[in-house]
Order: sequence, then C-alpha cells, then structure tokens
Amino acid sequence: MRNPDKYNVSGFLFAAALAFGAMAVVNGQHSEQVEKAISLGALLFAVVAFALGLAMKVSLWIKKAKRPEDAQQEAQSRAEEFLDKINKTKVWHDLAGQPGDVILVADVIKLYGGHERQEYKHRLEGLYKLASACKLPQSYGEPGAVTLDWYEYDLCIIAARQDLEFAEKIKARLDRRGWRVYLDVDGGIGGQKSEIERVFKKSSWKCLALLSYYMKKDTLRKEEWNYALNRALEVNGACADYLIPIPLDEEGQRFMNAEKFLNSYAKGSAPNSDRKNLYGIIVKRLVALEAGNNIGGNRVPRPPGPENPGSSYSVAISYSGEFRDRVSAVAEELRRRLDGKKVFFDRDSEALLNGPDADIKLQNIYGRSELIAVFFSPKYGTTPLTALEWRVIREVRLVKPEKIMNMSPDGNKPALLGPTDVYSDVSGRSPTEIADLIIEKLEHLRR
Amino acid sequence: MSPEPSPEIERTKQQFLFVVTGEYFVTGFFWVFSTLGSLLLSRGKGDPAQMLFFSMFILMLSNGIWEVLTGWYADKFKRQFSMSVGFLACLVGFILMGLAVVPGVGTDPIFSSRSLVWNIGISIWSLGPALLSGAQEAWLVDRCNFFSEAPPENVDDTFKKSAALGVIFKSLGTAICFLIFYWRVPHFSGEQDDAVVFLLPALLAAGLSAGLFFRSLRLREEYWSHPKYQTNESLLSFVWNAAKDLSGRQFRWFTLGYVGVMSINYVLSTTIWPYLASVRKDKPLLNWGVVLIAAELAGSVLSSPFSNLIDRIRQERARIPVASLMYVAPLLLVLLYGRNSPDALLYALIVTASMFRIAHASVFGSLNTIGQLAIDSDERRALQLSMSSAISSFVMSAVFFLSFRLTTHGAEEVYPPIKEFWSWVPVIFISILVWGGYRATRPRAEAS
Repeated sequence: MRNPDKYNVSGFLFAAALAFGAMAVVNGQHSEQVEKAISLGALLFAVVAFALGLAMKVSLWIKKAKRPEDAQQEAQSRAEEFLDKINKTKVWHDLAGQPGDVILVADVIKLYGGHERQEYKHRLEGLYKLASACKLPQSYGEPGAVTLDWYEYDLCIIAARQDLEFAEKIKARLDRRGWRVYLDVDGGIGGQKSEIERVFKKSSWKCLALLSYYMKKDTLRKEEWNYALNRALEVNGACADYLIPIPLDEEGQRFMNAEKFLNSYAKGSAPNSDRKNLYGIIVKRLVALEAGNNIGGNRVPRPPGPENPGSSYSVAISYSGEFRDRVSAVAEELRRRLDGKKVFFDRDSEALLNGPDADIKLQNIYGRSELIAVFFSPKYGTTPLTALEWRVIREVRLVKPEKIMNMSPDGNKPALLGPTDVYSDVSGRSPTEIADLIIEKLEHLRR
Repeated sequence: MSPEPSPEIERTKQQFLFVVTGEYFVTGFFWVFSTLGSLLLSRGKGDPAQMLFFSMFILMLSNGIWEVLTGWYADKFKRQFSMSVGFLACLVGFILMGLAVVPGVGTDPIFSSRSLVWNIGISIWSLGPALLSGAQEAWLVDRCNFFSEAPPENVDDTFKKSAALGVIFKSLGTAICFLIFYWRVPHFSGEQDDAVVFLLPALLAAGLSAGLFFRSLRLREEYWSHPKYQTNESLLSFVWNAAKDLSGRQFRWFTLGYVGVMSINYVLSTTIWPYLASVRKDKPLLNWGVVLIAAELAGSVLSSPFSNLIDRIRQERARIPVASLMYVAPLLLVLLYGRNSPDALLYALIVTASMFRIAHASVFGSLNTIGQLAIDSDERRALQLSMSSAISSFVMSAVFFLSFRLTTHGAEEVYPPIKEFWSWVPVIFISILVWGGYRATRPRAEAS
C-alpha cells in the first residue's frame, strides 16, 4: 500500500462523528417529535461514523502501513545505523580495505557467525520491508571509498514449471559468470508470501520473466509475477528497467498485451519459438547489462561459480561413519580424477572444522562447492556432526537444490528424503563407478 | 470437453457459499430481531408503524451513505479485511441490541436509554452488510479469475447457488429468531420482556457472527499483490472514477435492475413482521408466524428448481423479465383483494413472501453475474457494486421517509399507510427491475 491514508479519511469520519453528535444534542433539547427523531438519527450517524473511522485506523495500525516517503527515510536511517554497526567489526574491516570495492552487503552477512549473522540477516530483511534494495544508500564512509550493493540476487527468474528446464540453462550460464541468480524451482517458495515479496519485489537487481502459455496456469508463479510488476513500476534511478519480460510463445505475447502495465514492453516484442536462438539472445542481453554495473567488478565477497575463483571445492562429501572406508575411497578417486580441483572430505579437513562456529564454516564450504554428494545411511542425521551437516545442506538446497546429489550406499530409501526426492542406489557400485556418477552430474551442472 | 476446474477455484466458490449463506442466516435473524424488538421496546410509547418507518429510514440512509465508504474501504484495504470487519460489526451490533434490556430511563419513546442502546446496536449492525456487500462478490470474482486459465471465470452458477441457499438460510434464521420470541412473548401484547427475549437471540446471532468473523480471517487474496490493486488514488478521485464507470452503458442498466430487486427485497423482508404483530395483536402471533415461515421456507426450497426452469429459456434477455413475473403474480392478489381488509392483505402477503423467495435466485443470481461481467476495472469492483447497493438504499430511505410522514400526518391506524406501501411500491420496483434486467442483458453477439 503506497499511500494508505492520503486524505486522512478516518480523521474526516471522527470530525463527522463530532458534528453529528453536536447536532443530536442541539435537536434533542426540543420537545417536538420530529426534531427528536432527527436528533436520534444524528446520534446514530455519529456512532457509525466513529465506528467506521475506528475500523480504518485499526486497519492501518494492523497493516503498519507507512507513506512511501516515510518508509524510504526510515530505510535510509536504519541502513546507516546498520552500516555503522558492522563497520566496527573485523569482518567488514578485512573486506572493505580497497577503495573502489563493491561490497555485497547481503553476502557479507553470511560471513558472520552465530547470533551476529542472525541479527544482521534480520536487520537486512527489515530494510527490504521498508524499501527496495535499489533505494538503499549506495556508498558509505569517505567519498569514493566503497560502493554498496544491497541486492540479494543479481537476477531473479520467473518461469512456469514447464519452462524450468530452459530457465535452468540460463541460470547455469549466468552462475558461471558469477551472477547470483534466483530461480524458483519448487513453485512459490513454498507459498511464503514474505519470501516471494522479498525476492521478486525488493532484493533482486533485475528480473527475467519467461512468459508462455503455461504461465497462465501457474498461479504460484503468477504471484511472483505480480510482485515483480509492482517493483517494475518504480522507474527512477537505480530502480529503473527492472523487468525483462520475454514472450516464449504466442500465448506469452498475449499475456503481455493483456497486461496494461506492460504496454511499453509489449510493443517491440515478438515471441520466438526457437529456444536455442532465444537462449543466446537472452544471455547476450543479460551479459550486456554487466558493463557499467557491479557484476564482474571488484565484488567483495566474490559470488561463487565454476568460472569464478571464489569457488572453493568442486565436490563436497557428507556421510556418516558407517561407510567411512567406502566414501573415503570415492573421495580418493575423485581427487585423482578432478586434476587439482579440491574435494571436501571431512576426515582430511578435520583441522579446518575444528573450533567454534562449525556451522558457519560448513555453510561457506557447501555454499562454495559446485556439488554436494550426500551418502545417506540409517545413522546419517542422528549424530551431532551429520545432523549439523544435514541442516546446512538443507539450507543450501533451498537456494540451489540442483547441486545436491543424494546417494544410498546400502540401497535403502533414505528416511530424510521426501517422496519427490530422487536418490541413486550405489550399494552395488565400486568407488570408481560412484566417482563416475558424481563427475557426470558435475559436468551436467557445468553445462 | 471443458477443462477440469482448478481445485482452488472450487475451494473459493465453496468458501464464498459458506460466507454468503452465513450472512443470509444472520440477516434473517436480524430482520425479525430488529422489528419485533423495536415493537417490544416501543410498546405503549407511540405508534409502532411510525417507529418502524423511522428506524427503517435511518437504517437505509445510513446504509446508503456508508456503502460508498465501505466499498472504497474494501477496494483499498483488501476485500477479506472488509468482510472480517463487516462480521465484527454484526457481532458488536447484536451484542448491543441484546444489552438493550438494561433498565429503561424515562418514558420518551426515542430517548429512553433502552431505545438508545437498541438503535445504536442497529446502526453498528448496519455497517456489517455495507462492508460485506460488494466485497464478497469482488473477492469471489477476482480470486477465481486469478486461478482461472482463461479469465473471466464463470461464476454464474455460484451466484445463483448462493442466492438459492441464502434464501433458505435466511428463512431458517427468521424461523429460529421468531420461535425464541414466541417462546418468551406468546401473545405479544403482554408485559413480559425479560432479559431472555433480547439476550438469547442476541447471543446466538453474535456467536454465529463471531464464527463467520474468524472464518473470514482465513480467506486468502493472492490476486491482491497485482499493482492494479495497490491504488494510489485519493478517495474522491477513486469514487469519482467509480461513478463514471457506474454510468457506463452496460453497468447503468444493471444498476437499475439491481435497485429494483434490492428494493423489492427490502419491502418484502422488513415490514411484514411488525404488521403481523401490530395488526393481528388480538390473535396469537404464532399462528400467523408459523404460516409465514412455512411459506418462506417452501418458497426458498422451490427457488433452485425454478431457477433451473428459467435457465431453459433460450432467449437470455427474456430470463430476468420472465422470472420477475413471479413477483407480479402475488402482488396482483395484494392489489385486487388486499385492499379490502387487513386479513385479506395478510393472506396475500404470505403468498407474496413465498413467491418472492422462489424468484430470488434466478433474478438476483443472474443479475449479479451480469453486473460482474460489466465491471471493467477490477480494482474498483467492490466499490461499483456497493454504489449500486447505495442507490437502492437511498431510494428505499426515501420510500420509508414518505411512509413515516404518512403515519405522522393523520393516519390513526397502521393499516392504511402499510396497505399503500405494499400495493404500489413493489409494482414500481418490479417495473424498474424488468426494464433494467432486460436492457442489461446484451445479446451475446453484441457483447462479444
């Protein structure tokens, strides 16, 4: 709600209640039946005006609606307060050392541990509720010191379930260029309205909408689309040109034509049924946006990706002690075959995990791995370390589900997986065959 | 073969039916409670018909004024929110009406403390229908369109079903409330008006309103995230644009038909009970009441088959005028025989009440669909329907005011003004309904 009480209607109603009340008192003093009737009528109007005014005030209070300019101002001051706070921390100090650096605030927060990280995450989400990331302060400290990037994602993609494969290709390509891309593969982020609003209206730099016949049916994505449209109406400065709608077929074009907010986009667009050709056009168009923007510059911390040296591991392995020997052999095989690329296997990395905030360390490791191979067993998830690993993997899975590979070394269906999760039965396979499987998936991800 | 309907659309339609039938039930309860309660409170303190017409005038005027604001409220603050506040207003209104049994102060028929609490309760209650009307229909249409593969989604059946079920539940509400009154005040002319007469129906109705309030809190509005609903217009500009839409070619005829059907609804729902109670006070109320309720229920049950029958008429434009004949037939009885004596009028009215309910679903349900299809701007859907409703209320407030003036100028008996009221007013409204309904139904080719 952009301007909930522009002319203070509830104030008007309270004033009307007072006026009617006065009229009731004046007329009530007469003895004529008609005047008394008028007095009663005025009194009743006063009561209803008061009740309606109160209902409006309560509505505004419940919705905690603010005028846009007030919200913007509050966002600015809260953002500065937030920056003042993290400015004193070692993490920030280590990162923001170079003039000209672009600090990815949302990613910096992930580097903090425990309560600090939770607190900063909460603060950032509070900022997104007040204003879009494009409206938050873009610099901090001395002039020319550091540039701030408040976006959580460089691109969010809206695509109907049937068009996900095409969208995933685009995402994979951009991932490799170091873009932070959000693609909703589950549909409506599990129906979390606040999450949809955050990603598609507030915290993404650009939004790619793949419009097709299937979009009309996909009501969960329609909600994402609605939020993106709201954001697309902000047309000034850094907020401009947010939406990139692409019609995939005739129906998608009709969808665009029917939407009055897309008039300017619909004019020059035409559906392109040749997906291969379209893929090239879209990627080219997106890559062209990198120039002059924060992507590919001195981004700190650098988002992970296979083409990006920020990526720490090719494969991270998670397992429980029952299959230590077999998994160890697989890790050896992987190390041998992935020439020089790192494989995370906790027995070798014991020293790395030792110390406080193991969950943060794991998050960094799993977040920066191209693929996470999980070897399930009946005890997996029940011991403290595997429980922690599984918790972190689940978090990663929410953002990048495609990079999780489920395997069952004993052939049983893992109890931790849902009915729609697919796993590979590797009970009868040798370490070399399992390594083949993992590398095949890795190559698929890189394509 | 038509595609399988989306489960969400089906769920939306069911939720709409639940909320609307609940509202009809509460409304049926209210009409009996407010009219019989008014008569009890004003007993021995003046002309009951005069009191009734004045209360109705205030109720309709208040409803008309608030309809515009509440329509805007629904469009601005979410329809679901408007529905919840509407049921909350019903709840508070019923509680206040129940509390009217606090010891009376003074003998003034208008300014005794009982009358004040009672009338304040009625006024707060009147906010309920104002907040609900328009918001419910807009919620149904917009949510179904959101989940539909090819909007606009067909909601014609749902409107008809809701109207058909609604009249059944309204009659049930009427029956239950009447029986409570009869149980405590058998002859209606005695001096019993203990707390139970007011508190029991009030608590029952308030409980039901509370249930509907909590149910309405769980209704979802996914479509609301679309920017078109995030209006930045001022109230005046929003209402002005809605008024311009109202005069649009298609919608103005719908409004005319809507004024006709709503006014007939008000005339036949509001005034039979006090007439029964005041004209026939020499006889037990139960006999007449039971006959009237049975006639209403029978009419309600026959509503659905009648609606199916009307749907078989091939000419779409003829459906509403033909269905409206159901209103005309019994009114002819009133005009021909009801003018002779109070008893004859009463018999004619009982038949009228039954026939009126038979026709309600096919006329009101069809008209609602026509109106929804004629609305171009989704973001003003609730306000536009509310404005049509407001016009009906203003028209009715004028009618009630004229009747009030009639009773204050010379008429000693209740019978003459009420006789005129029931003889001519419905005939005028039926004519308006037939004309508006016919013009609003454009032939398919023209509409496409």
